Amino acid sequence: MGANLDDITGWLVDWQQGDALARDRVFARLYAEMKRLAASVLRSESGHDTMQPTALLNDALMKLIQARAPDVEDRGHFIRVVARAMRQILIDRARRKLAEKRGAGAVPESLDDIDVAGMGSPHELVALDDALSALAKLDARAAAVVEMRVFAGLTIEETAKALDIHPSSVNREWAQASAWLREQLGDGRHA
Amino acid sequence: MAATPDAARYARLKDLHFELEALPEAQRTPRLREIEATEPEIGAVLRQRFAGSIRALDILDRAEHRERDAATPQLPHYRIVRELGRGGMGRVWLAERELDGARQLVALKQIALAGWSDEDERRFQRERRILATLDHPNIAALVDGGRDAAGAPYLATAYVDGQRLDRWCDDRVAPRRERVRLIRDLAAAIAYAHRKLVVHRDLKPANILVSADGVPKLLDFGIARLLDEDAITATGPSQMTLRYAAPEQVHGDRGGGVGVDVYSLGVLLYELLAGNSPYGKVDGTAALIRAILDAEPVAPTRVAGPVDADLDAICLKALRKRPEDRYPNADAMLADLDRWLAGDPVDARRGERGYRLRAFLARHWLAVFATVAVVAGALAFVAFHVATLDRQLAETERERDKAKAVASYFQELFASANPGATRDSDLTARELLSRSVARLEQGDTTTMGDDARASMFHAAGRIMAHQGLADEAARMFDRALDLWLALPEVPENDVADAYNERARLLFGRGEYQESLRLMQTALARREAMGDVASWQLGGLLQQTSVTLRALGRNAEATATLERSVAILAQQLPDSRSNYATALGNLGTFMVIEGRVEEGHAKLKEALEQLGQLKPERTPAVLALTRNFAMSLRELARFEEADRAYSALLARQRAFYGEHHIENARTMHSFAQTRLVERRLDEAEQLLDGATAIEVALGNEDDPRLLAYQADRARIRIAQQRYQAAVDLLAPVLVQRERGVFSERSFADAERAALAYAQCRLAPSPELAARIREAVVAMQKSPPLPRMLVPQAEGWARDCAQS
Repeated sequence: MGANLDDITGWLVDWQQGDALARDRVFARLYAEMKRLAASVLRSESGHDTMQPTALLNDALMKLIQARAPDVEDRGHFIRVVARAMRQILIDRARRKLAEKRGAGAVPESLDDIDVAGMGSPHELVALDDALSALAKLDARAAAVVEMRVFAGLTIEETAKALDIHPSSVNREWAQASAWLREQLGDGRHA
Repeated sequence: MAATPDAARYARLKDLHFELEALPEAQRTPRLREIEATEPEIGAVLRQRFAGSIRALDILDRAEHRERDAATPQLPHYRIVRELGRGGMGRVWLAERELDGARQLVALKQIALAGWSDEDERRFQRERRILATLDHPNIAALVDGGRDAAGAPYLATAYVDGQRLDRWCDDRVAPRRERVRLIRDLAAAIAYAHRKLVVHRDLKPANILVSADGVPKLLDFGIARLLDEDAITATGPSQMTLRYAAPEQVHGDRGGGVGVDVYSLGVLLYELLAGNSPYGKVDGTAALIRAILDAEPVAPTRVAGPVDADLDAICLKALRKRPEDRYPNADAMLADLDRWLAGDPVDARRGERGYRLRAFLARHWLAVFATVAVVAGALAFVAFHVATLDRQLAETERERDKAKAVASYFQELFASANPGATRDSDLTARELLSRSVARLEQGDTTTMGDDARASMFHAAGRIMAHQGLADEAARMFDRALDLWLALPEVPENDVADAYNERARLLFGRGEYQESLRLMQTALARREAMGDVASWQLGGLLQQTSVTLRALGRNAEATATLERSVAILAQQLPDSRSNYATALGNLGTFMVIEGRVEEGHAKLKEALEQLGQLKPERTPAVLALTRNFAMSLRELARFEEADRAYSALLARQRAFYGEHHIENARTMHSFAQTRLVERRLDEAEQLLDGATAIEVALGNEDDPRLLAYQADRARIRIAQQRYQAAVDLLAPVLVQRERGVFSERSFADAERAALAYAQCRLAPSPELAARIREAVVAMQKSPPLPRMLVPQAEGWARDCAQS
């Protein structure tokens, strides 16, 4: 099941060579792969706080980027998709966990049994997700920076490469956006 | 703060934020005041931001930590030269350490703040402690440790100027022998660490540097674990390199014993021999995990010849999926690598797959194969051994899951014991057992089902029973029974076994009636299953017969035993050890009952059957040989009997040492033979010897001593020292009256002897009548030696005539 990263790299070549279907395939498969990857890592780690799915993703991403980078625009898009996928996975989990706590009934999903430490509490994650969605409406670039750094585990420099902007810009965007996010989470609306 | 963040407010906030950030610190405060004057709400927010009093948010903080980790550490006495590498845990720098004018190159290691937690801190401190205990030529030594200005701990180890293991070999196109030698040196380092109770858990080429002159050094004990530590310190696969990880690590088994390192050594050896991974070309984490769990590697020297079956065997043995199938520890692997280097046959090729498990279980279960003597003057039965070794092993291998659980439990138990023993010589098997039982009872073996847990209680019970811890053993068997009987599908074989062993403990305490009741429970369960011919049934019947015999229900005992022998005979050769034991007992029963020829033949066959078993069941052979010698005496083949006894005593002394209860039993039986032969001095010496052993063992109160005393009295009678005989016999009979367990026939014979001795001192018709009465009883139920019966008949005539 699922494509391995080599398959995806191969599709990237097709994509570069103008195969429009390849692009969709990459996204679809990559999402599935990310989900699977996250699941297998989460499952094999029975609940300690050493889990860093983002670090793992980062490795995979860097390999992809270095191997066969599509053109600049696509590359940024590509990484966003991956970061989005990871965000989706983690937020889904967090929401389910919260639902369970409120007594909405258990969802039989193996990922739910495990705390992904380093990714904050379910509360925090869900609140951040909401705030990040709000931010995206106000400031798409800042939101992209946050998403890449938090969910794809990119450093400032890597984010800069992915977005094709200067690292100092990334740094500024991050500092401002993360302050804003902290404020949103701190004012009690999401807590 | 705004209740509804709108675009204009956000844009204004962002603009001002950027503006303030670009200002030098000194100009920031006046500018902030300006903003606060005109836009108080936004000004307040910005003031908070730049005062650093912003809300901590774990998710965002971690992203920032990743950034900070890119910086080099600032430490007094250290000058950072360059980065050596980075991994999941953190980064390693080459640094020059200068202290009191001495300069040294070190590898400086710090943990990534992004992943920092209290546990990481503990782990890091532990690595420091672990390294401080390790002093080995193939392990990079600890130089220093402490904290940097920011409070983050660091470790400095001696810098090894070398190349990664794999590259070193590739660059030199190192010959096979050289590669094996490198792994051998590493195995020595790992074995050393294991003895210090340290499991490395992260062996990989990146952690092994080889110097130009070919000395490999082990680096990075970052995720090493102390064997006697709790699992809290263990870490999962996110911190190790999957490619060299053992299946149990991939499973997320938090403990991971020494087998983990053995496996990794196997992967390293494989890669150096074959030139590729044991899993071939696998891409993707999931595929690799699958391969680690399931793929059976091709023999490495078949990948890159020339083929060397010994080396393949060593490598593949280290790579077995189940830890208990691998080398039990790095020392064992080291020994095999040394054998290969010396050109000797390697251990890895001994026997078939599963050899290790068999050998391991055999070592412990053989111990259970004990002989139980029916307390009676002259004879000891080779009693049942319930843990029917051969079939038990076959059964164990059939029930793979349980076998695995039990074996890995003991594996771990003993693996952790061995290094411990060197450090703490007081660590006894008993303590180990109680430690393991505590673990079992706490139930920290969470991966185990109730069935497997019950098996472990059962196995622990057996070993405890063997250790003489009867009460604890009984508790273990009861726990096992509780668990098994609660299962939806009750494992009848195991339940019957457990009842059997529980009964055996009761037998040992002399609670024959209760013992018999449990036996019958087990028999009824077997019958309900429709079992009429299994080896388990045969074993059960065998034990039941011994219990019946102890209760004096001799006819039933013999019949039951005959049924047992018939069943076990059908199950040959698997039932051989059980069959031999049952047959030996039957032969003994027959000799006692006067079917001497028949019994002798059975004993002979039993010995032949036992002789075919490898390894030899020495205690059983010795006990059976005694009964065989006795049968020779009963056949009046005295010369053969004497030779058999003498040889037996010599073997026993060699096997058991001088002061052993079995020696006393044989001496007594031999003494009775000498008495029948009227070689009185020799008989007396043997009795002296037997008594001395009992006294040395603190058995003064044992009923066996009554039988010795009675035989001493018979010697006195033969010496015509009748008063001495009376003095010896009278107290024996008082004890017998009190019901101290014995075969009734012995008391009859003793009564006859006492009356005769008294008659010789002062004849009376009353005494003659008493002898005749005893003789009638003896004829009905003859004692051993049977020659006592005609002798007593003679006494009756003598006394009547006098």
